[in-house]
Amino acid sequence: MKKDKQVLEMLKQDMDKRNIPDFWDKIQEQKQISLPSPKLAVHQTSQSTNNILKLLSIAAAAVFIFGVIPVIVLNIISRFPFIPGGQRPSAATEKDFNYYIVNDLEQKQIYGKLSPSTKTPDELLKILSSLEHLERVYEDDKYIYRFDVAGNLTEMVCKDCTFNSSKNISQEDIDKIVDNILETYFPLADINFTQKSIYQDSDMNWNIDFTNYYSAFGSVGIYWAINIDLTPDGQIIKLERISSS
Amino acid sequence: MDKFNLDKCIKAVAKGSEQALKNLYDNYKNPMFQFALSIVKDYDLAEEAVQDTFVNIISYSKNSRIDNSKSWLFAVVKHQCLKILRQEHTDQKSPIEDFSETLSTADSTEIVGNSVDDIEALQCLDDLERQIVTLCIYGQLTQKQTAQTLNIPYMKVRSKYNYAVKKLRKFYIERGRFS
Repeated sequence: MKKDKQVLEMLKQDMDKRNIPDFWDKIQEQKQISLPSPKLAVHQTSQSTNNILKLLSIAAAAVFIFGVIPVIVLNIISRFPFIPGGQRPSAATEKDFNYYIVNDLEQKQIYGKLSPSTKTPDELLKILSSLEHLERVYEDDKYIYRFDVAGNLTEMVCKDCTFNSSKNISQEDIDKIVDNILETYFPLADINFTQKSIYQDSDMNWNIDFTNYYSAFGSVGIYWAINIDLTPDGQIIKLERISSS
Repeated sequence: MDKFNLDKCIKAVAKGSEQALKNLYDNYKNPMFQFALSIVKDYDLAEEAVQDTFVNIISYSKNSRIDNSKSWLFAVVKHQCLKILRQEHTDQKSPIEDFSETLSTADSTEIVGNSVDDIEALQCLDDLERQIVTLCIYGQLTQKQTAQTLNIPYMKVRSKYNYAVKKLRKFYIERGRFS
């Protein structure tokens, strides 16, 4: 059994020990209580429909006043960076990050044309796994990249994950693709991992997990790890390097 | 549970079938309860949430467009849990800054009432990781379905799932239950 599944199976064994009460009778009682009285049913229905319509129209007006108008105003303001509050927070400028490193990366032709990400921290939080090093988030036409202070890649996520993955390639081919990815994006890394896991999940995507564990003072920690998610035909969905914790 | 067809059952529930409701209860009470407990972290509140789900499920199923029955069912449980938690906070007169439907921050569900954190392994996970692994184990949802149910990005589910499995593996290794 795959190791991830083994871990979850252990957790399930622990969780199955919970004593879950039987409350079918309570459900039946509650259903009886919630049934409307027959005499008032018809009148209540038309009254409640009117009330619902009133509430809906008030809600629609509120959404327009408090939702749409501020968005329009903020969009206009954001075009004028020198107005207080109008500055759209950007993740990085070329001067903030080591421009040399970015150019160096582009020269290695690993990445496309890199530019600082224009997404806000809130938008990036929905895509990236953490908010660390937001000042070093870059984009090309396909991916968003997050680098650490030394210019090493820590995370790479597809921007528009609509892959046409019609074919499913073999694990042997995936192994080659993974080797290529490690060599390309982490050429200086010591990749003698203590634990390797490659499997297809229920979405038929490939999950690759390489981890180096360390043991110190009786406890086990993760030294560093690389997680790669690939489509069924081997395109990168997401790549993440996790440092020691 | 393999022989039980959730799609057919939900359709029958929508038509008012009591037998279908009982079948749904027999087959999904435990998974729904486990998921509710991962959100509300209190046995009484979890029971209340799942109870409310079953009481209201006929009207919900009639008024919803259901693309995926499993995702929908657990999303309803989640909705009930949030309603109950909002009510608990209102009753306790505690301020809530943002109680959105998105359970994407680790501290979005404060512990209320008589909270129980009875599974030691789960204590190493944050709230979202707990919900994701519970849906994976008991709901048998794919990660895309989990993203739909929890209304969070698919990538976030993948990241959180990977972290959760790593933490759990470390937990079981330390206790000699996993090699």
